[in-house]
Amino acid sequence: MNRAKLLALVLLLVVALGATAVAAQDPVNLVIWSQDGDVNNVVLAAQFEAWAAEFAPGSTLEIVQKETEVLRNDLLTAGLAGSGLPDLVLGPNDAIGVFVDAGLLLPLDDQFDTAMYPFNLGAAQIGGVTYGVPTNAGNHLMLMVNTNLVPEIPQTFDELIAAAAAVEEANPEVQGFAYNLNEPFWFLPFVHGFGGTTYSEEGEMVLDSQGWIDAYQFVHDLKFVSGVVPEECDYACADSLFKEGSVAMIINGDWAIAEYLNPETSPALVDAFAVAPWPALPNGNRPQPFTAGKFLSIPVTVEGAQLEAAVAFATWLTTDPAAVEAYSIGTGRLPAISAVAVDPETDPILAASNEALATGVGMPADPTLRCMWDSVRPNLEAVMSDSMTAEEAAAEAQISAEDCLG
Amino acid sequence: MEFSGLSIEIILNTLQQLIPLILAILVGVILLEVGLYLLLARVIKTKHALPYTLLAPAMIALIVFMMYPLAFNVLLAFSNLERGTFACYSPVSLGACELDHLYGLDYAIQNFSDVFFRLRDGEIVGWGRLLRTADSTFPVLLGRTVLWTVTNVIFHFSIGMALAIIMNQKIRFKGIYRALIVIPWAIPAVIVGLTWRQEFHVQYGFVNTLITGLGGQAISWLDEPVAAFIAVIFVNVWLGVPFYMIMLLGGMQSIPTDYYEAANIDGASSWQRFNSITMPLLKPIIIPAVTLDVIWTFNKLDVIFLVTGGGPSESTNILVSALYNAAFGPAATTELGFAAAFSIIIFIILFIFALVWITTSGGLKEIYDR
Repeated sequence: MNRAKLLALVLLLVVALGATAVAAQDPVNLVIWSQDGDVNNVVLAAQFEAWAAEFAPGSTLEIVQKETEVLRNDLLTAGLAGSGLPDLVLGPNDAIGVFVDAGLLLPLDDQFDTAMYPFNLGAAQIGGVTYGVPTNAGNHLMLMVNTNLVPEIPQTFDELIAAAAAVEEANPEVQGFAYNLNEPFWFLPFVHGFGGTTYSEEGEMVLDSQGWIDAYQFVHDLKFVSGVVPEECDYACADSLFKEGSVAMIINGDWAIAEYLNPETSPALVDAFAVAPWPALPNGNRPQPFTAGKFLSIPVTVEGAQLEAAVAFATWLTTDPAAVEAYSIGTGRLPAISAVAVDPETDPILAASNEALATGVGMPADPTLRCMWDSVRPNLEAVMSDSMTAEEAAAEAQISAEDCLG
Repeated sequence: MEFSGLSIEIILNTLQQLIPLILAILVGVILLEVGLYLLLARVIKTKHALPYTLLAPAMIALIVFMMYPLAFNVLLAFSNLERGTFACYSPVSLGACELDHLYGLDYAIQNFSDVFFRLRDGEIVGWGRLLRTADSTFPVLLGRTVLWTVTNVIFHFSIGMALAIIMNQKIRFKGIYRALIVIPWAIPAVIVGLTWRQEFHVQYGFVNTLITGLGGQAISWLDEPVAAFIAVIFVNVWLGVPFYMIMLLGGMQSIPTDYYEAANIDGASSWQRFNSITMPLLKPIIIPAVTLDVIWTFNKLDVIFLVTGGGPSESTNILVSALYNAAFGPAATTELGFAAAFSIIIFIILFIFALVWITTSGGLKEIYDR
């Protein structure tokens, strides 16, 4: 080997080593505030470890789990203080509008290749600017069934009521059907099914249209006329009863699928779990759940190496096919990129979830949506305690929303 | 990384982070104390160097943890901090600020009037809504708060007094009974609230199981406004009785038996002994206890928050839970200027009550006169 060849080899080695040094990042300690559940956060932690091992050895991810309202308040409080914000925020899209209004999220169009997300990126865009990238598509409610108790999936609410009655007759200890009765997120699909919308075509908030009144009446009658739902039931009630096999059918979201497929957390559902689109209403329409997904956003305080690492990890988690498969399909949720598809043959549950997703309505990230949730909640509670009529509830919700909007 | 709850590893990690911090604070406090003492004794040469030095940590803690938040709260009441103006007050926000000033009397007037009135084009058009329902107005919430406070204090006092009288008798296993009665006080309020929430469940709760077992009709405790209000009062009474029992029992045991013996010789009845000896001699305990109880109950957020969340239909909210919900709850609109004004009004109400009550009752006279 002459000197020129040796020099060339040395140069090549230097370039190769340099390239490696560029690809691998310095170790960073990231903090993520996650609205996701425990089971999904375990997968998120494993995914970060896989990413860090390959791209930023020695890096750590601290996952701080926060319930929706807590996450919202804590981020606003940290924003007011000007410190203590995390490096990443993981949550549904409806809080994004509030954070963007407060100027606390970074625009992400320059940080990510937004063309990679063909399905639901719009749910995290405000004024055409992207403030979140989807980890999955969905976050939608659907019918979930214990097939040991109800072998035939009901296609209409009449069938559901009959199936629930049959289950209760055969198993007096089992509730036929349950859902989070007083929570507006569970109520909105009924509103959409009866033709109601939150915003009129002119963009005004309208909460007292006939669709809203019909929906209030319908959920009232599920409790007080057909008696198909329990007298009281919140999320924890429906969820825990379903896991232990004490309720045959519930309405819940895609975030819970992983837990229901886990034999340790849901022993009663082993080989007996199915999901389906909502049963049709008496008018022939299916209730239409809000759909969006979970999104990763980056607060404005993140910069330098932290920002680079946060963007690199978020990009990998949301676009690398293997990572997307692990974190969406692996947690019972639908992928948000076209490179990963659900196979109905091998995964009938996700295929059915996909079918339910198709019946949904996109949830806007508009911050004024909060006025709808907050105005509907107490009036829905009043209807469900039989202390207010459907008409009164709709009218009062409209007044309340107008007061909220100012 | 696992999410398996509190493990030994997590506890050790936490201690590893906390112990150096605690040691650093300790060393820092000792150094500051020594420095302050030397300054006062050697440089300023005051004869009160030691008392000032010993008082200093408590004074600093009071300033940092009470005076500063209070002052900041007052400042917030003079701000226009809400969703649309957040960018003006946040040092990191990317949003544009359109306010020409951040704090001012005009904002304070607006915030304080919003607590009471709804304004349209500068005209008062009715009571303002503190939450989302038509009933969430200041007079309604104040009335409910007074009802909540009076009911709780009456039950706390009467049951606590009855138990104290029983515990003051010569009965067997007194220690066991006393320990059982004190249990509610020893359990963290979060556990109490969440447990009672489950116990009031219409189908699976112990309360309805008991009622139906006795032949009664199940009650929708958390779904009916009146039943829900009774439920939260019940939980708070259950929580508050041990405080009175302990205070009153301690007071009763400090009354010399000579008085009762003399009364017995004079032929006094049980009621006369109670009314003429026990009650007057317990007054120095009863007045401060009632004062504290009124303030605590008036400000009792945790029970309502955990048992009913203020529902159904915001019907179990009192002033402080409405304040919490307005500032941080599901119906929060980030109107922190308004929330600060609201909290100051609650503070003023309690301050006036405490001032009038303590002055007229003379309950703290003995303490102040010592």
